[in-house]
Amino acid sequence: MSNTITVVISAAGLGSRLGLNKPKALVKVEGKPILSYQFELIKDLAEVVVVVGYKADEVIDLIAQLRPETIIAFNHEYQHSGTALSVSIASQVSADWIISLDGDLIVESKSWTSILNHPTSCLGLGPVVSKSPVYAHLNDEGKVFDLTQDPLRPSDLEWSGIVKMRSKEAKNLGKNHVYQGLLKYLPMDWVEVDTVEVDEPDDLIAASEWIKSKWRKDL
Amino acid sequence: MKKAFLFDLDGTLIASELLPAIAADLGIYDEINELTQATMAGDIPFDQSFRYRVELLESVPESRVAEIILSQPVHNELMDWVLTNKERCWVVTGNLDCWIRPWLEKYGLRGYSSISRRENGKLVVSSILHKASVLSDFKGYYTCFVGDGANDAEIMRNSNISIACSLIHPAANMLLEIADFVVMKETTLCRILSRL
Repeated sequence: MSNTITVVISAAGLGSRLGLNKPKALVKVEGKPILSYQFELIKDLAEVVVVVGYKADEVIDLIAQLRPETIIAFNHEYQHSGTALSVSIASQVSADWIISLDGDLIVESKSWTSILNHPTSCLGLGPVVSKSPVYAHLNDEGKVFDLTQDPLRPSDLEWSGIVKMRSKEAKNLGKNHVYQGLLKYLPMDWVEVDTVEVDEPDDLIAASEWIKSKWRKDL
Repeated sequence: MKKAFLFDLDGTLIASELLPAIAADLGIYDEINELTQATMAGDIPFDQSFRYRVELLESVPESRVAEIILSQPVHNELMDWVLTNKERCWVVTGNLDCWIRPWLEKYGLRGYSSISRRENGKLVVSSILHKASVLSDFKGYYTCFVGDGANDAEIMRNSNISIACSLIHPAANMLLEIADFVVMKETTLCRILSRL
């Protein structure tokens, strides 16, 4: 499957909650931009699309240094759309399967491998840590049958922001939040993942600690 | 829907900027290069700059210029793709018809270009191609334009899909506001083209 899979990194957004005047791909954790951790993780894979928007030229400069064979796609509506639009744009030029990764997410390598090796579509889920989690609900067969941000319907598991799916389906995710576009494709398998997301200023400290304890230097 | 792939020439199919390459061969590199750089930076409008650069070359026989163009390196992998998909590909270049005709004939490609004439033995620009106008020939097609210069902005805006090329130099800044994709490697470009 690795010859027919494209990693899609959505790096178009403003990162407004973080308020650092740069897209999250460029935010440094332990001295390195988030995008460089993501590129390290996927270095053995042939195909990646990075979707850019806010400060596209700066993200492109970083890509030119780290991985110039990247396909760079533009989401020119980044101010008014959600990640779903970025993923659908990237899907137009992707292989049969994609793994979609939010631009502010660092994934631990064993988790990444388990998503990569999973034979069908799947969501990466973890324990609830976010301020506005996307709760994942499981049915009797242990598959995810619902994703919701409704605080009145909490669960022990949240969707991390990583999903593996067919690119044909990813073209129809809509223009808002990816999880909303995914609802029509549920139920879906899930895989436990260890990730850190940099969404709010407090997350930077947690991310630093996470990298120091979990990021393998021998990747 | 039928697809039409429209390609800029300099910096896209051909792996060099033609006017500076022609000028270097003829020993007038500095004047032309300065003009070319200023045009790429958007300091001088394309039309004005192009007419002036042609003036610098007005006494040079067309055949000599055409020869220099034929000797320029091409992006091989991209050309392989184009030649395999010839019936869906066209060249759209601001360069002069008399200069590029032999190149197009060599590869069996169809093209749109600026038009020239001879006046009192001197080469003169009759009309400069405004690339977007070409799209009126492609009604009913799904159009994809591939280019790298600021003079590609309008045709990019009006094509169904557009790819900015940063193959031999970074694509013009303006294109980053308009293009759907930008690529830095030929292999990446061919991959996108095959998937569209």
